[in-house]
Amino acid sequence: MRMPALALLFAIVASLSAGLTAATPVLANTFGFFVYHPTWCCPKTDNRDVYWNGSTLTSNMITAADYGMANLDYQTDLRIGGYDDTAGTHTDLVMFDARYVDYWGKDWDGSSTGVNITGATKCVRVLAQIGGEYTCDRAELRFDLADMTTTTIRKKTACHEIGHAIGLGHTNLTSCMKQGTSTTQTYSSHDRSHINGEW
Amino acid sequence: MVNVNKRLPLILTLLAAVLTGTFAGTLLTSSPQPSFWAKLRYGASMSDGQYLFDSVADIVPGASDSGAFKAAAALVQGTVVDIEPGIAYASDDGDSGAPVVPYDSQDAAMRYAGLVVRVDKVLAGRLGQGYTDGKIRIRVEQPATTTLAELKESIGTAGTGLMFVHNLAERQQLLGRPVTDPAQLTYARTVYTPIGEGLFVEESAGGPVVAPLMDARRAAQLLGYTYLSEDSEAEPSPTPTCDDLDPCFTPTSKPSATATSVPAGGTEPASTTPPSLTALRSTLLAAACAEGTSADSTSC
Repeated sequence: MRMPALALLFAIVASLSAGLTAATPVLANTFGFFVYHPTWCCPKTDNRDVYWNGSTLTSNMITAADYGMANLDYQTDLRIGGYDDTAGTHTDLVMFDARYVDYWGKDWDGSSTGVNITGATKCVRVLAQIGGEYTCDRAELRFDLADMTTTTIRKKTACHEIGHAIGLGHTNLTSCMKQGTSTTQTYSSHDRSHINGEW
Repeated sequence: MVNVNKRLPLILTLLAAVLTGTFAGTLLTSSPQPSFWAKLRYGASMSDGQYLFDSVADIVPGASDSGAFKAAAALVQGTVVDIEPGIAYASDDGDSGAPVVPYDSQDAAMRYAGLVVRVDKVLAGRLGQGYTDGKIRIRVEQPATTTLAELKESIGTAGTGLMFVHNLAERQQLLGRPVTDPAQLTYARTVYTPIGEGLFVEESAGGPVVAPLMDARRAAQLLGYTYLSEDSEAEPSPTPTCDDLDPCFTPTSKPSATATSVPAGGTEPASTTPPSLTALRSTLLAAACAEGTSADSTSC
């Protein structure tokens, strides 16, 4: 009798395990992009070591970008792989700044969308993974210098756009991922819980 | 043979386990395909910014300017019938405009498709150029995570909706930024831009509206319901503190939303469900009547 009971227990565990490993994520999320369970966000970065380039950034903005990358490295499992003097094939994040008006067809001052854009991130090289998950091989981050008026705003926006580039969505918590006039320049524990352990 | 008999229960149990696991996995992975709007909204570009208005009444044709933001030329009720290629931009590290590239180009970093909408009724304001055969084309960002073919496949789930629109060429003229490049002008004359991210769609008859171009929290704010997310249950959002290291930000460059307008939900207790299209239509028609731009003034 003992053997079948053990076998039954094993069978239950095995069946649950088999079912769950084949399943899609079922919880609401603000991280990554999965085709069968779309989240509010963007594809997550495809590797743990993040290489970046900001060779055309203005001096104030490169300081903020440096801060943002250092913060990412400090707060999360993700690491700065290195700074690329020129954006190469393995560069993950490329940052630009300018006084944008309609760059990429976007309405930067919000006169049509009603959203004055301070910074925007676009994954320009998306990788489809087996099982419907998409990751990002390269993201471009753009900062509108018309809005980058203080160190606080620059750092917050750098943290925010880097967050999108690695897969984080918006939040209502105290985090740089909160939209609008929030001044927080770091990720929340909730943000970090999404990132850590992923790579 | 004796050994087999002894182990038969174990073998059968293990077999059952494998079958059960496979079945459960199949059930869980065979989720329904995402809807048209789900494909279109997710994986698009993300941004940070400040909202310039705080009520759907501010988008209605005839509404006064809210900072830099100007209201829509028209509010239409329409049905999405197709999606077409539109315009694509490559990247450039300068501050001049991004170069336009062929829609299917490998260099395209940003693509805008044309959502073909059959106009069932103009509810307020008026349509301009590019309104032909009872249809308009609304430009929407095509995420890199989906193809036009995939979007076309799911067009049947796009449904009908209320849409705030303005012809792109006319809009740019109004904003004092007329399109001068001949090729881009030709394009701009044929498409409509969604104003205030204001596309409100009913995916199934009588169901709650979705606002696929908006952030979920923004949609909840404008439509007057409470957005419930994972993080809203995770921890309360404390009052932001300000100090020397993290001073409170005071916007100076552009005006932000006023707090005087009323969301679509009116003064009813906040629900966690978006309104139906019918309810939203009534709210918007009332706002259009108030602005004197309703297409059917007898209904005011």
